[in-house]
Amino acid sequence: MTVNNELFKGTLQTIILNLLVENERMYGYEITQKVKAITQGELMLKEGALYPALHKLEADGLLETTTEVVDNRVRKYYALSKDGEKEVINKLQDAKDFIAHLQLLLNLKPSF
Amino acid sequence: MEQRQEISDYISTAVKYRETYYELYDHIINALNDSDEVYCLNHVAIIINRDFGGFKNIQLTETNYQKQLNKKYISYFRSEMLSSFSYPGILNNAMIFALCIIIYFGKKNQPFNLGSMLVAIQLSLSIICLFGFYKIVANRLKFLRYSILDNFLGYLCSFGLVLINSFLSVFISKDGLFDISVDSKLILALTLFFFGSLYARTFIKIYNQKLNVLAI
Repeated sequence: MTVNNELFKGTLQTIILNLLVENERMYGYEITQKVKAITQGELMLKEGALYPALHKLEADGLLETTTEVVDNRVRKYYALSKDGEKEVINKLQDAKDFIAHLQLLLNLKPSF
Repeated sequence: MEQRQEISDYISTAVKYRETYYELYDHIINALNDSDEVYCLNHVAIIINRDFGGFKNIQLTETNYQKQLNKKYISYFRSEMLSSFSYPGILNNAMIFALCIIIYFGKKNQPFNLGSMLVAIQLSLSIICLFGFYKIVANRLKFLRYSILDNFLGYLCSFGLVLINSFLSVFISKDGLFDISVDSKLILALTLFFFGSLYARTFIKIYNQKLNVLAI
């Protein structure tokens, strides 16, 4: 079963921020592969959804970027800024609240 | 190596800025390395369509990214200027302001050569402007591609000079639109000196702390 990506668009920023809590710094492709691995291939970040979200988070000051030359090419790494570290707590709480409300609205039983 | 050059040439036709190019190129090479399929350029096109939504979407992302960064750095510039009015930055401003007061009251009743002061202000702001455009051109030649922040840097480095020259041509020059008294001209020149100094200090700070780190 493939998960509908539309359902995840609203939480993409939270997903990215949370991944960066667990991994100090990540590059774009690494994030797509991590999401794919965690969801066992059910969720794929496609259609250019990832990079606009990363750029938005960077412009909002929640992410900081560094560059490094790896294998003769420039790689851009993203890491949480100090504001990002604070914001991730709020975003995670918002996501948890949303999921709880969604379970109530759709009469879903928590699977955990 | 030839394959990498082919990929580079292929994506170069669509992306404008080096930040986007680096990110796209790295993503494609990683995706190709992870793929079991034999390399062909069509595979690159498939990755671009699958992961980025095609070249049109990439160009749209570039435009949006530039707008977002411009907004972010303008906001940085504004807050840096404002922060110079709080401690310890206010000490510099207080010294410049005190100098303006001394010049004003020292020269109020004597003829004051505004020309040299105005030339000094224009010269210092012209140096900033030249430095900014030199950096843009030098990086363009070095990296063969513009940075997504060049637009902002160009705007920022020329902003002070354009503003000062507008004031000069409207109020202070002999052919200016408004004929104001010598005393008012002195106040205006000192105000320009104060804000010119503030702008120059903020530009240097923003460039060193925010813009310089982006140079790869």
